[in-house]
Amino acid sequence: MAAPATQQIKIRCNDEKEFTVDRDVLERSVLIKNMLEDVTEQQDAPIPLPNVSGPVMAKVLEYCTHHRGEPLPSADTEQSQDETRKRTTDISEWDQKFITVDQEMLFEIILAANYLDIKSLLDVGCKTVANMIKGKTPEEIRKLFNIVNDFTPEEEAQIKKENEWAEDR
Amino acid sequence: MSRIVAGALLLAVEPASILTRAVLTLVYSRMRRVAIISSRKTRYIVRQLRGKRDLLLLPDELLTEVLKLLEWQDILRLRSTCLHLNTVSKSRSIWQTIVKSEPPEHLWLECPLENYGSGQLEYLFIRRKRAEAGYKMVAEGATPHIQRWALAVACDPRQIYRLL
Repeated sequence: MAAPATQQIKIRCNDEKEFTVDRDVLERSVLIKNMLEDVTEQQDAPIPLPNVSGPVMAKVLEYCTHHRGEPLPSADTEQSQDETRKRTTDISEWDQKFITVDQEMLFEIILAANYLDIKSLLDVGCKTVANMIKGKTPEEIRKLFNIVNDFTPEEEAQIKKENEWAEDR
Repeated sequence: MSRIVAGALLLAVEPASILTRAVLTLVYSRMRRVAIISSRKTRYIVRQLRGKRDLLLLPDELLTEVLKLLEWQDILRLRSTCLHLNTVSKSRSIWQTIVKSEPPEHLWLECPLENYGSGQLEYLFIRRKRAEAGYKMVAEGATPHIQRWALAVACDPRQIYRLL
């Protein structure tokens, strides 16, 4: 398991784009880490990643390279975090700059982080979306995410009536 | 004489027209309902076909993760944007996270938190918040003791017995 840190791994995205990356960078992804641990012999064939496209993978690798060497959150700390969960949406400065992308890329990154099992990147993505929603009116949220109001007038009036007391609290 | 005839005529015609109107209203609302539902489906398919990622195409479990990070007011506001977000905003895990952020003595639990369903959890929390909102208006200027008492009773009238 204690492989030399300089070992290079090849991956192939769904658009045939290939990357050659240091093993410790790729191991930020728990999915790839587990895959690599299962393979005992040195293999030259690239690891296929059918759910991620080249441009998104490039962005994800940028994140992994910046955060290489940081300890991975273990299942244990995750549990305790969840218990005393403080719902903070603070994002570090570098991450903030990194995640300043258009909406489509943002959601691509979230889906990729979920698929590749990179907890910290998924957190950054979710926090970013949460921050976009915070404090906005329903109409502003619809506009921001291109959501069409699909309630009947009756349903809308009903929901509005249920929730109007909560405004200005 | 003509008045009686007119009255009789009206009686004969009116029930029928009421019935027709009722049937027409029913048919109309049904049609509108079907149209709205099918347009929802179409819109979702169009979103998928367009191939662009957006908020509504995130899988539910990821949407839930996002919503867990929001304040309860944000979730209530999100609820009136569209049907899909409305449904997702009712997941149990979201309300469990929110309820756990509130001091437990505020909630007057009757059994362990795990035994509450999603709707009940939400009710528990919203009841507290509504009570706070309502009581703020009436209890300004009262002594702290009266304030605590008023809040507890506003939350759950049965607390009267516990506090007397």
